[in-house]
Amino acid sequence: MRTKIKRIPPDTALLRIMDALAQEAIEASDEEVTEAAADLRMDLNSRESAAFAGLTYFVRPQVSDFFSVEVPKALQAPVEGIAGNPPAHPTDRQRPSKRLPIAIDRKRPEK
Amino acid sequence: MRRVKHRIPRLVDKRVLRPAQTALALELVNKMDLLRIKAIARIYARGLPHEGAWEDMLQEALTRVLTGSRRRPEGVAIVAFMAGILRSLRADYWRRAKRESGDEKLRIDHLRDESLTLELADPTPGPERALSARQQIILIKQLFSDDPAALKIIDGLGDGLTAEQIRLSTGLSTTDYDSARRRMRRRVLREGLTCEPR
Repeated sequence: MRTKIKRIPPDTALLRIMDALAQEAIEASDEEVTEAAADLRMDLNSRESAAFAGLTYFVRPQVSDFFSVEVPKALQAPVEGIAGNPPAHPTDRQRPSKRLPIAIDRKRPEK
Repeated sequence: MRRVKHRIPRLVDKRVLRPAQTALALELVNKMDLLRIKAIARIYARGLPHEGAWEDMLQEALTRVLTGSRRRPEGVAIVAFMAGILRSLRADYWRRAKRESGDEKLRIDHLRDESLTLELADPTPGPERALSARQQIILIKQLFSDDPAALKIIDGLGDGLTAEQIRLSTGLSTTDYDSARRRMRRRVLREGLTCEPR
């Protein structure tokens, strides 16, 4: 009987390797994570540490880092209203109108 | 005569947590787990077309958790749960890419009856995917280029061998195997903590 030759597609092999490596990351202890960060001279106690790039802050620069983008602000405005939070600076429409005191003439009953 | 009550099975499985519970667990996740999740996202984003794919994958995974399209089974750690979502997102990407290309169909003709001809999705990877996978395997091996034991283990993992089979085929002792896996783990974490493009 001939020997069976089993050909494994490269993507299957890659997925198996990735699963095994992901399992390693899942099972890594806190000490191992800290040691790996120390190898890279990353300070995990700092919030701005490069280790947290992409998690607590963006890795890639955003448009808003360079320009004051008005569109997101405009989009956020009605959301505040929906959420029930009064906007910090109410627009002219939202301000209570200032009414002038008007004398009310009441009709007196005729005698 | 005794009547038998048939209970309608509950649609909501008790063993699956509500999205709000998982969202709360995500909010309370500690920084070490966050870093583990980042490392896993970077692993599963390997070979995907654009550079910042891991960030997008992570955002998509978080969105699925928060919207409730992925429910966390009770007792499953949040890191393992997120790893599962990231893995399926990767598979989704390739499935979509294959469907969009549309030309990878396997046709099985019947000798006599043409109506019995079958058209199935071709299970073999397309050339782009195969090339990308080969490149990524080479890049992963480069991470461990100075560690022959780790390279042997990676070959074994790619062939779908168990730890025992890898040890037998490579002649590594249990201690050597375990220490090689520890070195691999540290290298994976180191790579996962960075944001270097690949």
